[in-house]
Amino acid sequence: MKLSDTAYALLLTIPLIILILSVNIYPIAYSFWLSLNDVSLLKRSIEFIGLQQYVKAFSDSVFKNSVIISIRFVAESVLLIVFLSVGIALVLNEKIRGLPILKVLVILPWALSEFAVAIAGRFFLDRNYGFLNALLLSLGLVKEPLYFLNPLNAVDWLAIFFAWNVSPIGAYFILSALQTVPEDLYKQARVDGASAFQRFRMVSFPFIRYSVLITAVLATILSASSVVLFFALTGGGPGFASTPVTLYAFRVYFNAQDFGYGAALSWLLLLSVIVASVVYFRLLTRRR
Amino acid sequence: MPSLKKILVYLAALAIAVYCIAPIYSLVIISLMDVRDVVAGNVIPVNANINAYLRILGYDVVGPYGPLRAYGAYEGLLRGLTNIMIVAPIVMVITILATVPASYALGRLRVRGKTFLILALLASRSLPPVSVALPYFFLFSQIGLRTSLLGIIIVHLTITIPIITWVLTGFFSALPRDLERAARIDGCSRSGAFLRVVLPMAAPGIAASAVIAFLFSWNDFFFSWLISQGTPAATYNAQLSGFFNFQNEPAMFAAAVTLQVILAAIVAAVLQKYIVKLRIVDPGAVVIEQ
Repeated sequence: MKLSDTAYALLLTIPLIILILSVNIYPIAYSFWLSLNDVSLLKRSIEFIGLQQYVKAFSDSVFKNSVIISIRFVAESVLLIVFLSVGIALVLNEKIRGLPILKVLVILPWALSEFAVAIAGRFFLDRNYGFLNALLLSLGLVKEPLYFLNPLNAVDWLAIFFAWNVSPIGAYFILSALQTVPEDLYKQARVDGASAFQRFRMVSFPFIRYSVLITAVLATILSASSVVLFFALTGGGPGFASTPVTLYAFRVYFNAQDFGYGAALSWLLLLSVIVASVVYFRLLTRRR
Repeated sequence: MPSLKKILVYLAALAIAVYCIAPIYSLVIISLMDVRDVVAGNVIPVNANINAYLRILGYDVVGPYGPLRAYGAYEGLLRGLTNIMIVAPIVMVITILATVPASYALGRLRVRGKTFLILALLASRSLPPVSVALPYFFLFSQIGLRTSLLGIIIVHLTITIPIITWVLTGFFSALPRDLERAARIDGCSRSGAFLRVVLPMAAPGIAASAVIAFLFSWNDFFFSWLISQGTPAATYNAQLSGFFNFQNEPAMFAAAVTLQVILAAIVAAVLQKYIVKLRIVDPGAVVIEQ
């Protein structure tokens, strides 16, 4: 029997989709069902209350605050990641000595787990035994150790460490695209008297547009879903100053054990990630 | 006389090197110092020693300021190390065996509904871990998967398979087609052309994908911790959370994290040259090409 290409592809792909959906559909459906109920472990009762958990979320000031923190964190992370990835890729694309070593150094932050990044961040920023304070003190730049993870700046530092972890892979994506730019185009642009910025804008950028976009997509989805970094670096504090939606939902689930409300929060999170993914997917598949 | 541009490029390269290394450096030096030397604010290791590493492996040691006891939960940590050394390679192998044929088909054959298939696979990857966390926990408790490595393997596969399929689909579609076409004309079957012509060309991309799958599993904290914490199946990362109770022992915590990072760093450093070869140049093209 001769299979058509489509049948051949379906034969190879459908089992994977079935495996992944079968493991994922139950959890999603179950959490949706939970979100429509009031679950009390104490009274060992489950009461169907419709959409009230969702209504509750919109009058919960901690939740509203966590939404603002999430948006701020995602925006800062995506900007940093795109900027750093392009910058690092441009340097890696130059013919410089020691390039193989630099390439290895650049990939290292990516090899760290989100948890290891958080712990490295903690040791870097800690007021008592942190590296950054020790460095500033020994250089005589400050007299007292600084409190970096204060309510105002904690989110910024989280975004910086998140970007530190993710930008290497973005840089590698963009570098691989940069390497497809024909050398002649640069030469031609130089002959035409284009400045370095113009060369980047007119010659390189069209080739790396899609890698930049995909880096932004990954950065958005990953940063919006990130929870371990917050949990292990700041614990969401001080107070709720660095608690994004993900960590708040997690706390409601596992610390407060309010499963219904936690499920509703995680569904709101899920919906916003889906909306963002669809918007991005349309951008990616739009014909040029 | 080097040009101004050359100087700027080298300065930028230096800045990038420092930026990439600084947090790792701070983690490593803390693992090498006694807590007293750390609090004193040393930026270069003083009384450098590997006591913290010996302690988390279960040895009592004599430090620069007196004897130090071994880490109390070192057995759990070592069991966790064994567990992840079993889980991560299995996840890597299954991911590659499952995704290579599928991404070959999606990337190189004329398939109707390709967009839908890719989207269906990717959609599950965009699920925030928190959204599936509690149901996973309940489900796995009920069917007894929390205490077995199989549970973690399944969860990791649901994440590595979509992402690697997507990466490899782009990679396969970007490979030159002439050789394969020639092989097909010479009477090779679709599978034969795949095995003899396409697979050898794809080796670097497959190697990079294997690294990504391995590192995902090796590095996963959230699911491993959620599912396996407190069970015999607890992985190394899950056991690391025990150090949260040892805030006054930064050296052991830093040593335990460094130990986890070392293998990942070596794997990534050795295979980084393949990662550039993945050429995620135009991921949209896979879909657009139809």
